[in-house]
Order: sequence, then structure tokens, then C-alpha cells
Amino acid sequence: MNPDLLTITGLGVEINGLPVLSDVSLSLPSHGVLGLVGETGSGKSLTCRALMGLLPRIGGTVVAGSMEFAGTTLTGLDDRGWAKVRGRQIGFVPQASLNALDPVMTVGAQLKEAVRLLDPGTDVKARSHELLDLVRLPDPAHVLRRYPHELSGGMRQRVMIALALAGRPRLLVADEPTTALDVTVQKAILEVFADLRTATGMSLLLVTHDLGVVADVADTIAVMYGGTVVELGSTQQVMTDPSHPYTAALLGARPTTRAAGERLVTIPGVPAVPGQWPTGCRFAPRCEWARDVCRTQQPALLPLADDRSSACHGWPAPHEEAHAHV
Amino acid sequence: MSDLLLEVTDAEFRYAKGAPPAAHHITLAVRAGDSLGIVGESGSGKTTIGRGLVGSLHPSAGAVLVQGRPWKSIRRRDPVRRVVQMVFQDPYASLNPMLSAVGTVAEVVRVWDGLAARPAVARAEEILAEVGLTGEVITRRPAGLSGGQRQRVGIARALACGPQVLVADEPTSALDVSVQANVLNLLLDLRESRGLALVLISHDLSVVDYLTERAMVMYRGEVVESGPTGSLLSDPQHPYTRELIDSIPGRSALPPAA
Amino acid sequence: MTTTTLAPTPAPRRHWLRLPHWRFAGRHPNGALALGLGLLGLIVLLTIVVPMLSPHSATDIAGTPLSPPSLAHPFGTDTVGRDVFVRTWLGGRNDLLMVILVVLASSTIGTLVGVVAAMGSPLTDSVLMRLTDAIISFPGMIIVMAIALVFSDMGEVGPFPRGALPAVIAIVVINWASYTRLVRGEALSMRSRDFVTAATLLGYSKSRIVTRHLLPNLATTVVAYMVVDAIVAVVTIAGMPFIGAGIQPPAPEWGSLMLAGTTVLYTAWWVTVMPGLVVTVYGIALSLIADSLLAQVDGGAR
Repeated sequence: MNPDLLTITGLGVEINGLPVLSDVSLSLPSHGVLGLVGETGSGKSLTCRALMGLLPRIGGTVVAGSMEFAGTTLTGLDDRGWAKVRGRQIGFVPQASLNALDPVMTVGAQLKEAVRLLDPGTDVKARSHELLDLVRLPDPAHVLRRYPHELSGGMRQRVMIALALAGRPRLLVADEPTTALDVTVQKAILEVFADLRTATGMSLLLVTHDLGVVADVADTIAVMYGGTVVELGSTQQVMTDPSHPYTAALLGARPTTRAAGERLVTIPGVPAVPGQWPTGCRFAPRCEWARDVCRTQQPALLPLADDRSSACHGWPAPHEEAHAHV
Repeated sequence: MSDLLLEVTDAEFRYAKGAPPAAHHITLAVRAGDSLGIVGESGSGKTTIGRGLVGSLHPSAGAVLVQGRPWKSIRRRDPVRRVVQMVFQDPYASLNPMLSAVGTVAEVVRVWDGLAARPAVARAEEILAEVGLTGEVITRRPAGLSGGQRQRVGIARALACGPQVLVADEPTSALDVSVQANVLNLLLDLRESRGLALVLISHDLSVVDYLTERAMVMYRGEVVESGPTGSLLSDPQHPYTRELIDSIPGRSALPPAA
Repeated sequence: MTTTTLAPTPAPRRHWLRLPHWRFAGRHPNGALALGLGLLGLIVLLTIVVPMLSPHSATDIAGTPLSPPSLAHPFGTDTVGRDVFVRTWLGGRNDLLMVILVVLASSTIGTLVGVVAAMGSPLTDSVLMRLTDAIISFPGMIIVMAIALVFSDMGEVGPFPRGALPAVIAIVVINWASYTRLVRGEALSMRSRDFVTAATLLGYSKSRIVTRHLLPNLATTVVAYMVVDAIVAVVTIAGMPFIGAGIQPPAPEWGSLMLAGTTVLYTAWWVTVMPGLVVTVYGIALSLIADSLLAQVDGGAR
């Protein structure tokens, strides 16, 4: 077993006094790929921001829990501490990054600037070529001379990933990296991530709303709902034998799982508004298995057998372990 | 044939004179109760065809006929306008921010059925109930509605003039998976209850597979393959169709259809 | 669920000049709007009440020339001994009436032309836009002086003293064009939104699309701009006496009051500064209102 590179334990975050994340726990081994899955308002992007130390910019503060990364406690780092981690230890591909490149600078100028800043002492030119090779961009010399608007969406996304790799991070965090892309391009980008891990041995945290996207790449999946992690397990387990009713509903909602004409699984009600969570289990008001205990007590994310965890007071899941916590 | 609602014959669409065609050699027919999927990625011309089908873009060659008549000959208040209506992709941009859900739908009824204010509201409430919106929610403006609720209002607005064909351009691609499921179920329900024909424009083969019986695959303005959706997916003939199928995320990891 | 009481997070530091974000304004989302409306209401009230209740009229010699502010003359007296307090508020009444007329007329004409340009044929659009470009690029002061000259014989009209209406006409003639630019741009971007496409597909008439779907969505933007415009209009009106146009003496007006004081600024600052302070408070009040309205426009976009 690899030791865990990243461990988040019981993380709680507030914005303007409203609890937007609570009891977020997950871990990511070295060389591992973790998929962080959730729908709008689930808190997945906030978890990302917390991990990158970007909460203060949106008025957020960590109020509970800890984040440990490679022996460093991230929670409590000051600006200078974060500067040593961001980009150098943890690379970040932000959401909606297709327009994040500077339109008046060539790709080469931007990439070389990042290399000079984050990886001093290397041969800047050679390293830039190497980075574009890593993200499978053909003809790096040509791409380096281009301006962002001369590149397709898929190519720009690859450049963004190359930029995030400039500081040779041990962990790459990508927030919805394929959302605005065509499906064939999405597939190619996911292959880039898979290759990166074999080529560099880095760990990946892939944040997405689409279970299908992480299914092909991730070893483990953390499912978020209502500002907390509701299920954590291997991709195989989560996708085929979910241990939380929300995960099961998400899977059933995907049209690939149903024959034509058969109705999809839907979740009644609307998602809870961040910060205005219901008492007890946050999924309880929409859960068909909810009992009294679900409406009063928030279930903790507890380990089940087979190295997986679930935050549920118990539901008639296809596997028996879930009943252990009834 | 009287049940032929939409007929496109070797049509070509350009956004400006002299511009390269955004779609060409397009031939299709939609009969009552049909379901047709138009699949493609950005730049494939699928949205262009959608605009052609609803008459907001006239073909530069070939013909688009609604119940046998070209869109160009159909005036503003021609009853043929009721036959085809559209559902849009972005539930934020497709509703007037200043009108409530019930106001949006009631306006259509007032214009087309000549109802007075009060009966129009009553009729609008019925239509909104048909798409699953009842109670206080329908008095809200779009800003107070969730993405899924907005999309339902958009569908109700299209239904309000009693169409026989819905042209839906990426109706769920801006929605969360669990919300998408609600809207897809609703579209299935409406097809059954109203006998609606559906033209579904989407980049997502799994959604097209789920909702349609026939489909065509577009690539760079041309139809590369068309046929029954099931056989298109199980036995694709064109390499691009095969690539699209391979790109459906998570296909391998998911359990097979129940 | 456990409730944890936490120390309130300190409010982010902001520059002291950014008035709308004063702490009280930040804590209550509508605090800035309320303060702005309150200050504006106070100014309007004083322009009505002070000339009615004051023992002096605006043209009386009420005391010794250039006496400093006192209980009898809160803003002091001017070079001929008239009460600056009553002249300031009566002048404010004249200024505000002119501003209201300028803003209403410019916004109505400008919105109408802007919508016609956005919804009409390409030819209509380009003709109207060339016209507005021409007006915007033409030196405004020349038009003002020309119009003031043409209408120089016009006397007192209703509540407007001599010179007021020519000034209003002159400003409106230049000013409507900026509303047209704003409205046309907004209407064009609105027209490409799907809800207008849907309305077209449903066979709605152009007039219905304009009145029910375009105008209500433009309203907040136009109103916010009207408030900003009301600040600019006061500055323009107050600037006119400096080129010999605008309200003719002895009728008071903020600009002419300040102009009259400039010759004695070092010895009798109050003649200029007191009306100037009132104009400043007026400007602050309106910018508070405009900022909250603009914040609403931005918030509503999403």
C-alpha cells in the first residue's frame, strides 16, 4: 500500500458564517487518481478551493478539520506557506479554464514564464517542449508560437494542463476539466490524464459532475452531496454497487443504464441550498429510505468492509455491509 | 401524405451569402409521433438544422416544408406556426427574466387562442401542471426557479400553442445528471400523452439513444450516417460514429441496461 | 445539529472613498440605497420648504453684505447682502426642476430611437446611429450657446425662470444620443437571447416583443443611467452661467451662486462653498442610488 499523499479529515468551511462544507473527509494515495463527483451546490469546487488555499478570496474560512499533504499541514498555512505549495506541490487546472490564457501573449511566452518562475534552473526551452509532449500536443515548436485564440478548445485545455505541470507538482487538481469540450475531445483529454499518471507518477484529483467521466480514469471515487462526502470507495464498487442511496440514484439517472422507453431514476425534490442544510442527513428530505434517525442525526462517513466508506444510517442496499450501521 | 409534418429535401444552409455552407445535402422527414435524433459535436451543423426546422433560418438551396409549405410563405399568425415549436439549450437565456412562469405560458395562450386574461391564466396553469409545475412555484420569475424548473417552463411555453413537433436543441446539456433525468422522463411522457413528434439535437449519444428511434450523425455540415438509433449504436458503419460511441464516458464501467 | 458560535469574520478592508461600501451599507444590502434616497429626499424637501418658510426672499437685501454664516443667515450673505441659505434652496428647486425635465425628455427620446434602431431595418439602424454619432462627437458647448441665443427672448414659463427652458432644450438636444447608444446596444444583445427567438417563433408581433419582452428588461439599466445622468445634468446646468447661458439673474441657481462667489472666495468663502457642499451631497446621494441600481442590473444578469 502506498502511503497517502493527501488526507482531508473532517474539513468544515464557512462563508459569511454559513456552513458550506462540513465533515469533508477523503484521502488520496501517491500515484492515485481520485474522482470527486457531485452536482451543482454539492461543495466539490469549494473543496478544491480549500485545497488550493483560495478560500479567502471568496470570503471563506476553514472552521474545522485538517488537510495534510505530504507531511505538510495545509490548514493554517499563511500566504507565504501557500505560495510554496501552490503550483510547486499542487498544480491546479481551474474551472472554465478555456478562457484563462492571456490573449495577448503567445502560448510559449506564458509557458516559459511559468517554467522560469516555478522550476528555476531548468532549460526553459527544452522543458516547455517536454511539457507540451506530456499533454500530447503534436509539434510543440509550432504550438509555442501560437496565440491562444489560434488554438482549438481541446488544445487550449492541454496548454492549461501543461501550465499546471510547470512546477513539477506531486498532485494535480483539475476542476471540471472537460465540461465545455466536445465528447471526442473530452475522451482525448481524459487519456492525457491517464498517461500523465504513468509518465510522471503524480497523483490526480479530478473534480466533475459526471460519474462517467471519472469512471474511466479514477481508481477511487468520492461522491459529494450537500457540502459533505457521502460515499468513498473504489471506482468499481461505487459504479456497480453503490453504498449510498444518493449515489445509486445518480447512477440510475444516467440514460446509458436504461433501455429506451423505460423511465430513468429521478430524485424527488430539489437539492438543498448551500448553507441552508436540513437537520440530520442532508439527503434525507429526498431519500425514499429516510427514517426518523435520518431526519435528526447527520450520519458520519464510516468505514465499511472492503476499504470503502459511506455516510448513511442504513438502507436496503444490494450489499449487506450497509446494514452494519443501522 | 397528411401525417408528414416536416420535410427537408437536399437543403443547404448558409449564415451569409458567400459564406461556406454550415450544413448541406440535408434530407429528412418527420411524421406524426416520430422521434429523430440529430447527433454531432460543435461545428457539425446540428444547431443550424434545428434553426432551419423551426423557420428561423431559410435554406439557401433545397427546401424545408412544414405540412407541405415552405417556411418563407408562412406569415406571422399562420396556424401552421403552431405545428413546430422549439425547446432551447440554455434555461437561463430562454426565458424572459421579467415574466413569471405562468405569465410566460399565459401569453402564448392569449395570443393563439384569443383567451381573456383570466381564462388564459387558468389554461396556463393546466399546461404547467402537465409539465409537473404546480403551486406557488409558477408565480415565480426565472431567477427564483432551478435549472430544471426553468427548462420545464420552456417546454410548457412550447406546448402552449399545441404543437405536433418539438425541436429540442440540447435540452439537458446545461443540467445536472439527476435533473436531466427528470426532463428526459418528461419528454417521454409528453410523447406518449400528446403523441408529440420529437427532433432531439444533442452531442450526447446516450441521450439520443434513450429518446429517439431514428438518428442521424453530423460531421462538419454533412450527414455521415443515419438509420434506426439502435442499429446505429450497435453496428456503426462510419468511423466517426464509432469514435463518438467510444467517447461516451464511463460506458465500460457501468452495468448493462436493466 | 450542533450550533457553533463563531467570532464574526472581520469585514474585508475597503478604500474609504468607496462610499457605497461603508460598513453599515455593507451589512444591509439596501443600506446604500436607503441612505441615498434619504439624502436626496432631504434635499428635495429643503428646496420646497426653505423658500416657503424663510423670512427673506431670494432677492431681498436681508443683511450686511458678506456677513459670515450665523443663526439669522445659516449660509451667510452674498456681495449685495442677500441670504445665501434661501438662495441656495430656491436655486436648488430651479436646478432640480431642470434636471427632471432634462432626464425625462432625453431618456424618452433616446430609448425610443434606440429601440427603433435595434429592431428596424439595417438601413434605419445605420441612419439613426450615424445621427447619434454626429451629435455625440459635436462640441456640446457650441450647441448650447447657439440654442441659448436662439431662445434668448423666451421669458419665464410656468415654474421655470428666464433662461431655464432654453438651457433644458439645449442639453436634451445633445443628451438623448447617449441613451440611444446605451439602449440600442442592450436591445441588440437582448434580441439575440433565446427568449426573444422563442417569441418570434411563437409569432408575436414586433410591438409585443418590444413592449413586453425588451423594454421591461431594459428598464433597470435605463433608470440606473438616468440617475447617473442626473448628476451630470446638474454639473452641466451649473456650468452654464460660466459661459453666459442658463438661468438669468437675479433668479438663483447653484452654478450662478457659486460663480458670484468666486470673486470674493478668499474673504467670504461661504458664498461659494455652502452651495457647493449642497451640490456635493446631491451628487453623493445620486451615486449611492445609481450604484445600488447598477448592482441590481449586474445581479439580475445571472
